[in-house]
Amino acid sequence: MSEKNYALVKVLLLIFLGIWMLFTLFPLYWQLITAFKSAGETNLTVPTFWPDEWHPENFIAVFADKSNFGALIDSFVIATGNTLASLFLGTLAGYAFARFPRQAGGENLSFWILSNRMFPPVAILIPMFFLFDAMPWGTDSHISLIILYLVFNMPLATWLMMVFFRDAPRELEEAAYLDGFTPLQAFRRVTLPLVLPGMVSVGILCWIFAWNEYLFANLFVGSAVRTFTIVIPTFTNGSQTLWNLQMAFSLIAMIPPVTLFILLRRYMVRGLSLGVVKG
Amino acid sequence: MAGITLKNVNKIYPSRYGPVHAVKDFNLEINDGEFVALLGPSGCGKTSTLRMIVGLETISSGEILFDGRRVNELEPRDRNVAMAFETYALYPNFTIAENLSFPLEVRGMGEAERKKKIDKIAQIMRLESILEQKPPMLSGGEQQRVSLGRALIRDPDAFILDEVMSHLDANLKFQMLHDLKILHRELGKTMVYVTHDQMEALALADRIAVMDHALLQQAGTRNEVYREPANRFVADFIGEPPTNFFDMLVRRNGNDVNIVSEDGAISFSPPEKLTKVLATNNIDAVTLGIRPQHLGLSGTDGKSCSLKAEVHINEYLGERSILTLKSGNETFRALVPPYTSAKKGETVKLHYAPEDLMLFDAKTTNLIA
Ligand SMILES: Nc1ncnc2c1ncn2[C@@H]1O[C@H](COP(=O)(O)OP(=O)(O)O)[C@@H](O)[C@H]1O
Ligand SMILES: [Mg+2]
Repeated sequence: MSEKNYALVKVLLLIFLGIWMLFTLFPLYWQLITAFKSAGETNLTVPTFWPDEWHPENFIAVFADKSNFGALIDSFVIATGNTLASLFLGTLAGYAFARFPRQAGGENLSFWILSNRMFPPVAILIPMFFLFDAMPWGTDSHISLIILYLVFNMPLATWLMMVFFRDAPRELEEAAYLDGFTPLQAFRRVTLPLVLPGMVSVGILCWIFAWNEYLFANLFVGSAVRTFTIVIPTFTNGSQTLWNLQMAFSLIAMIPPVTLFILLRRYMVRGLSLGVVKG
Repeated sequence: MAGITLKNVNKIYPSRYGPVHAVKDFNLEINDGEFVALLGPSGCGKTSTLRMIVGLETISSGEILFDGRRVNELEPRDRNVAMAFETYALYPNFTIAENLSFPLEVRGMGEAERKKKIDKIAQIMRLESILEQKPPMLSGGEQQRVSLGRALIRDPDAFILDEVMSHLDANLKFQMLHDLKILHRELGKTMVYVTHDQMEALALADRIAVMDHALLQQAGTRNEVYREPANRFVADFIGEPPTNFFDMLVRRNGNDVNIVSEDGAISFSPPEKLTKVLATNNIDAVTLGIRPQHLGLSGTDGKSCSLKAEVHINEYLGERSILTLKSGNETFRALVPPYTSAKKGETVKLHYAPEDLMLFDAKTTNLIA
């Protein structure tokens, strides 16, 4: 490629990235400025692109109802609990599918598990409600959502962990058996460290899904347990939507996943690029 | 210390396309302290055999004994054998020192003692300078030495080495062959060395077991497999360049026996021993083998018999030359001194000693005598 063509490609790339950034960053920008506006300013017919007056006290106002902070905690408990359960089950199942495909039901079973992830969740909304309602802990509890989200996160975790385990050379485990390890020791000391970056990425994906889930949470919980996603729509004043408070609260709710992502991004990149194991 | 006995060992893998019979009725006795090479082309079942010996694969039928004790049911960790893998199989997340330390740690050895052993192995395998590095940083040769070191460190009864030099370049291989030979001499431990490279097998082993198509073809000393190959496959597989084979007919004329090609262009006179055998049996079609090394241009040192052929190619390879020759329909090779000046189209007279002829039954391919 000539020098000139190269420059052209660069310009086109920048234009493309610019347009793309506009699409992705504009909602964030809008969220940010709305969070600082007064309620009146959010409802102007001609919207303002920069707040006339800054109202940082919005971020305190969202906690006027003390239980709103509890909703963040509830979401955190549910997301974390579900992530741990998904990782535990997904790792064991993924290992079985990767190492003992025949004994573990073959490709059909592993694909069936993945296909659970593919149907539209609304389809099972009502049946699930009745099912969980019949459980001793009812629907309005942490454990109900922790278990329910397994329907979505466990297949994902199983499938991805299976891919990671397939990548981890079997011979390393065999070498460990000969070195004197029991199968469990070999799994823990040799194989698990190899798939750890992958596991962290899977964990983040599960956690973010559970953290953001609205549809099921809205139906299942609401009194004893409230997730932040169902709290956001409650910021209204009569028939008026308090966009500023909704945006402020959702900004606060963005902090945990963003922090998580920044802290673990090195694992994430390694885990989601091919060949996790090669290190 | 352990002698290893394989008795009618079979390995049948289930697979989607039906069962794969990877090892068939394998019988072999490996003596204590012996260096045995398991030699054969890729896919012939060498790795499967090894994996059954160390316990990574179940034995479909038959028995494996260590010093007369049946080990079929023992877990790998209870057999006290060490294996080095073709891919080295070093634990990538741990340093070389940790890699070496694992087999000791899991046996409950104390830290101080472990350190002493690691230092000793590091010295033997020349690993001192890389103990704190991690495997992915090392060259193939270094990884190979670590992998051997890890096998050595816990003092196993037998070493099983699977194609450990397949990925090393020629120079390094030469060095490793030497190291391994010395190591075996010093330790006096049973070693089973799997390879598809006959050069490695000939260089290292006291005894060579040649495999093909899941079957053990021959087990014998280097000299036996080279001089008296059990069948055509062994004769073909061992030796470089490969043995020349001719499809021949046996012509009997009273007590006189001649071996002649179908078009009559080539004839060999068999040694007395062979003549006797052929005179008494009724085999008519044979495959005759003679190694390129055993065909010479001069008739000295007992190479009394000769045949004529036309030079087709004269390849100069530095320390020797390979002549590709034609006679009638047959093409064959002779290994000659490097300065040979035979030109294409020239007719030369080739000498051989009748004892160097190998005769195989054309049907069964087994050695006749
Ligand atoms: N786990 C397995 N399942 C099915 N077939 C196998 C398995 N392992 C090896 N084989 C087959 O068994 C034969 C022998 O393989 P192997 O022992 O690895 O040969 P080698 O080490 O001599 O190259 C090959 O045809 C191979 O495809
Ligand atoms: Mg192999």
